[in-house]
Amino acid sequence: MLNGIVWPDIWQATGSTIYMIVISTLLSVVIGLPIGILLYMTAASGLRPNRIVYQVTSVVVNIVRSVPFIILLIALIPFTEWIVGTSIGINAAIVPLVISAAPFFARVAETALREVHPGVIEAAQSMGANVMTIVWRVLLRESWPSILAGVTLTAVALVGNSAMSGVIGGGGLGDLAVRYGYERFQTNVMIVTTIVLIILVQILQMTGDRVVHHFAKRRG
Amino acid sequence: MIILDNISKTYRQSRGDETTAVRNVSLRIDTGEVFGLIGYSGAGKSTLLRCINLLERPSAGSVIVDGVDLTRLSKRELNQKRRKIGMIFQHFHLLSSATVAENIAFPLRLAKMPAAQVRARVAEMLQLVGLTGYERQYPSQLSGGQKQRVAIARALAAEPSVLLCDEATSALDPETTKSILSLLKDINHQLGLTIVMVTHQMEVVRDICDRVAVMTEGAIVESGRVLDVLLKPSHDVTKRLFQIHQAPLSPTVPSAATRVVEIAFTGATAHDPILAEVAQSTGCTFSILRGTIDTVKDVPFGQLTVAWFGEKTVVDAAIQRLEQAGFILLKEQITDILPQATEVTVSC
Ligand SMILES: Nc1ncnc2c1ncn2[C@@H]1O[C@H](COP(=O)(O)OP(=O)(O)OP(=O)(O)O)[C@@H](O)[C@H]1O
Ligand SMILES: [Mg+2]
Repeated sequence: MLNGIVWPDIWQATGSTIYMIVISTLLSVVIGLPIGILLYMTAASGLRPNRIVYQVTSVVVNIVRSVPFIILLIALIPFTEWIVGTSIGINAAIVPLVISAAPFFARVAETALREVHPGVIEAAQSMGANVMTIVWRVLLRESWPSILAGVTLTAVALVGNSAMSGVIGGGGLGDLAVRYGYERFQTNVMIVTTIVLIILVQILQMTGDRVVHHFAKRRG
Repeated sequence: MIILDNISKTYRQSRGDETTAVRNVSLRIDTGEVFGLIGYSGAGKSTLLRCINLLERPSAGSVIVDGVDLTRLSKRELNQKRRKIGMIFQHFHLLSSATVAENIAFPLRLAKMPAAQVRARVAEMLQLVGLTGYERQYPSQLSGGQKQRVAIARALAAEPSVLLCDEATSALDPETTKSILSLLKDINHQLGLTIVMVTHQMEVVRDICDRVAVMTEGAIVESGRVLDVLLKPSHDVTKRLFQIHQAPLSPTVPSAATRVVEIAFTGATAHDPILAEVAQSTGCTFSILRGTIDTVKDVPFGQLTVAWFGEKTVVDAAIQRLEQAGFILLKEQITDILPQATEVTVSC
């Protein structure tokens, strides 16, 4: 059953996948969070309502989110080449991952921010807090557990996409599964990579839940 | 001192129609006084209160707090000024992710107070509201009354001159309401703080307010010292809000009574046996049909329905004596329009 599996390849591919997930999750948060804050602030119920800014941002986010990942992957090849200098390799694979996950995370963050009770914001305003202070010390602070849950959600979504992205870019577990399992009919390699991916998702989810729990435990 | 000068607030709805929440309100609230704003739901009380710290910018009129017209300030200046106007809410609005101490420290950190001073001030505020030892608790671990105490400590931490309260006791049970009101009363005495209280609860006004304004449909329809408004309510809404819940007059009013009157008394007159003295000296008799005794900001206040028996002239003289002694004649009920009865009931 385990005949012909090249374990070093498996471990190396696992490392690449973890690298892709970690970097693209971080970049998605770095790009998505400000967009989420922008969406929250400019919405009709936000602190700085602005119909035009909200609508434009919202439509762009929706468009990117509705393009199937496989199409995004191919369509972004020129863009990736422009950014990374090549469209091959795990660094190149990260570009489409981030482009697809950042808007997703922006929506998650927007939703998390909306859960903050308007009364709490009002109380801060009544104490003379300016908008920046409210964003940092009220909105982000209060919605932190939800935002962290959103980070987990994004990372888990990235596991699946990273496998796909690896096929094009060349690297990671997805690439391995296709090279051995599909092209050389080594079904067992496909099974092993799938199991590793499942374990990765489990670990991500458990770690995420722990962290969220840690931050949320004393609130009501 | 707070001066509201001809304030109006109109909301534009999506389909072009407008709601006027506050119309042409002018009000002057003196330093150190507890001022009540009472009215039914939707009257515009909260909107008016929120105009005082410009959480709601009035569509017209000006808001002057301690000599400064807030409507003319820049954003920055307004934020500075707001630090001197504390506010508490029905649902507390504490930061759930912050401890009690961090919540109270919030306005101090806004004012960039050094950490050591913040700690000292937080401890002082906790002591003021009776929550010493609760520094590290989170709001979810506290009862409603304790949460409101934290909110009060937070609102007062930066030493404001004004405290705005929007239904601050409406989410609390009667016991807790009493304790929060007495805390506010203490703070008003100790710190000379001006307090504006929005409420729909008559008890709140009676317990702690010096003056009261009655709102309906965005306008103030009546205002004055609490006792005066209580004794002589002129607007219908005031009468409904302020009616003292007396037992309905039993239909078995003594048919022999010469006059049946409703009288009120306050302060000193409450303790003296004036009714008996007057009856004795004039030679008539009386019977109390019902009555309530209460306090208005710690001053006793009572209302009695009394049936008088005897010669008409004697009874008239007795009632005149009562009025001279400080009783207030609220209502006259002529006996012959009352149903005939056989028995005297005294409920007191
Ligand atoms: N942001 C808003 N947009 C539109 N209408 C509003 C807004 N805020 C308040 N109103 C309207 O203004 C009126 C007064 O509201 P307000 O909240 O001041 O009443 P209130 O006296 O505080 O009532 P309650 O006792 O229920 O709190 C209501 O008719 C309300 O629907
Ligand atoms: Mg209200």
